Amino acid sequence: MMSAMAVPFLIPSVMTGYCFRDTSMSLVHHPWMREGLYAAIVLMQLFPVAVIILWLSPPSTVTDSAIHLGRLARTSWSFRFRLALQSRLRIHLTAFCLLFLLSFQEADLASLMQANGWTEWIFTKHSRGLELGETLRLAAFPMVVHLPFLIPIVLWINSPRPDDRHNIRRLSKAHTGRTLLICSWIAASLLVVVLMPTWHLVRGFRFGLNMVGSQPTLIREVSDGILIAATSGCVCLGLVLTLRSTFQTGVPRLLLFLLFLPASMGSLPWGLTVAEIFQTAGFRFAYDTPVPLILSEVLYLLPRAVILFHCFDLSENSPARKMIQLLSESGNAAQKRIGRELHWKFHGRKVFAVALLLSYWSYFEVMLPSILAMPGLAPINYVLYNSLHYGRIAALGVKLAVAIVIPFVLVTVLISLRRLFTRFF
Amino acid sequence: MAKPLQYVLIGFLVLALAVGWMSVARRTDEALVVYCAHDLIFASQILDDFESETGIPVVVVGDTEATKSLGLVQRLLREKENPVCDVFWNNQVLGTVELAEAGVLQPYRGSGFERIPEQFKDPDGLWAGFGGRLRVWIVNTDSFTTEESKVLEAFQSDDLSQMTIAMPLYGTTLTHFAILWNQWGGSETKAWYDDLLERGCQISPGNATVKNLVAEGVCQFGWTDTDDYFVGLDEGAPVAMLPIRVDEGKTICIPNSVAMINGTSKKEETQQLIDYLLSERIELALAKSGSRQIPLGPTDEDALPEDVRELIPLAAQSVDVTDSASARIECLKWLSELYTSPSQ
Repeated sequence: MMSAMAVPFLIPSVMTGYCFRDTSMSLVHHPWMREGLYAAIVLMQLFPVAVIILWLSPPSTVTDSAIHLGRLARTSWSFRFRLALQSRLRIHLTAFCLLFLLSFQEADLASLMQANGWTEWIFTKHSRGLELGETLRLAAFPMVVHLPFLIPIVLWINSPRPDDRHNIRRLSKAHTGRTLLICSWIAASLLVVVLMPTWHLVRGFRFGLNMVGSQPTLIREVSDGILIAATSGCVCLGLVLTLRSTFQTGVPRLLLFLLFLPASMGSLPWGLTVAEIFQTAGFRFAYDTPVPLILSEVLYLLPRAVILFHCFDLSENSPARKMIQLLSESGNAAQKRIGRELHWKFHGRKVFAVALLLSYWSYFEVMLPSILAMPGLAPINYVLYNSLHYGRIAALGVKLAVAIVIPFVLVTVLISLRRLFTRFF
Repeated sequence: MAKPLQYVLIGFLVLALAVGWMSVARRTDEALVVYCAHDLIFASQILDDFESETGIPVVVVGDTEATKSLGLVQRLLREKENPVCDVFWNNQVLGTVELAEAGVLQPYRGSGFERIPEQFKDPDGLWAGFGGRLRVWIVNTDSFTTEESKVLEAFQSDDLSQMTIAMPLYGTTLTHFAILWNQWGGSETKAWYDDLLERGCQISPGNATVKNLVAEGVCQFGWTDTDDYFVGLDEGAPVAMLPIRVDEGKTICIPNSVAMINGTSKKEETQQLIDYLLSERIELALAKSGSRQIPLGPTDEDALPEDVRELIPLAAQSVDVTDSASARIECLKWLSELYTSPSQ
């Protein structure tokens, strides 16, 4: 259920842009309708994130009754405010802030659909070329907007892990009417953000299949995309796992804030800032290497990785984890093997899922490779995005389909290989 | 999973990634790095042919819509002290002139340079133009007339909601505006553009979108380049074109330009590529391609497609685009401020 819900969020913007760009352009005489269409698509894409956060978060220890009693007891405003902040309002606020940040940062679809926004404003500001100081000054604007919305998210991540007896699904308590509304919205999201773009893709693929032979660089572009994605995903994962093992009781809030800052600039100002930094005397030696691109991707993905791990932590059961650890360390070979298998199911699979998601986001990132990719490196998503400039040419559908299918096949092979390994080792 | 196996898998992953990055790095070892602002759909074939004929590997860095057409000029300026690129193939001229003035380019006068008319090359040999495009009116023939006087009459009317032009901050529309700025002066250009917007002219993200909007009948007419017009025509869209004329009835022909980057370590190969691009053969190939570029140097006219042959007299009537180089900088400054002011 949760996987189905997450699908709209995982559909790459180049695919939705491929589907809706022409519709958006045809609304040139009705700019408000165009903005409305863009806003609706973004909301449909991001809505599952809020639902998943609300679903995974355990109920607050401060109940509605406690807040009511606080009011009856005429406690001070400040105390009641603090109480309210620890109630379920906190989870709602976190979900809202996350939605705000994700929609505020959205740049790829906005550019493809020509929706107005601060990212376009920053593009335009850079049209004359700017010095590093000026770029940083411009990047400060989104950061200042982001900061107040980062606070609830950092506090949510930094909050102590709840007692397992509280770890129950929230949606079971939801009203039928509300559940119906959520399900309808998700169904609409699946239709607009998943099925319609997929249909366009399949149609494009059918018409352009004979053009695959005339795309000799296609496989190289897909390989470049996978190489960047795998490197960024693995480095980011390694960094988060190191952070988690270094700070076992939780990453300090200040450090979390600092780690979240680069991504809070948005990909365009962040990419331009990195490009400028690597043109200064001290870093110039690494400019023409993969370092700027991978570094920028890793720091851009880091907040997502931290949030993903926190979501998985919330859904994890500590006694079960302890039992699995004991089984894995058992002297009995059969028990040990079962323990290892369970460890994979309960822990390894989550780490693998985080790595996949991070790589997936990196694979479909447009702005950072377009600014920082070294010569000779042309990842597929950047090429696809560029091709959209020429309209819906038939080969584009094929390229997009291949770009999606190859990594999918690769992941399937990896999972099969793991099964094969565990059977024999 | 057992710990040793885990380490083996991690080791294997690291090795695979290292091999991947090494092969990427090797791509540029002996290769010429070409920054190409011309549509890669058309440029790739020419560069591939050069590679197979000379054995000199070429790595192309294209421009993206994400960074707009100014991306490569800005990137070259940023990389001035630490050049990565060997050859710059620009799809227009004024950005190249800016690079020449900034000291990013170095002179080369080879066989290709010699065959290009004076009007389309730098007197110091810093760059040379080839394969031009005309700025044209694109008209939807299903919903509007192709009579020039009627189109110009509609352009003077109070309602321009059926007209579309590309965002003038980028590409050939910026060059077009720079020419107007050069001819009319800043204040008149600003007043004219304000009036254009007030009358409801639609601003599109690029010339390809202008073509799409007119071809689909969303707008009746607009400004674009001949290459985009011919793409529409080849797709069977109901479109026709008329040349845009500025003061004294002159047309606007915007050539591609090619230049050698100051500090290139592959001077000989770079010169070979520049001569190749400026040759008659490549001008003919560009003329025969979907973009129908107009040859600037002497070419065998019989070998040209009919629709390109018709454009040659129009290209000969063009203003000297390079006269507007300094106007472009002022114009760009104004447009950038206009489109980032709080009221926009």
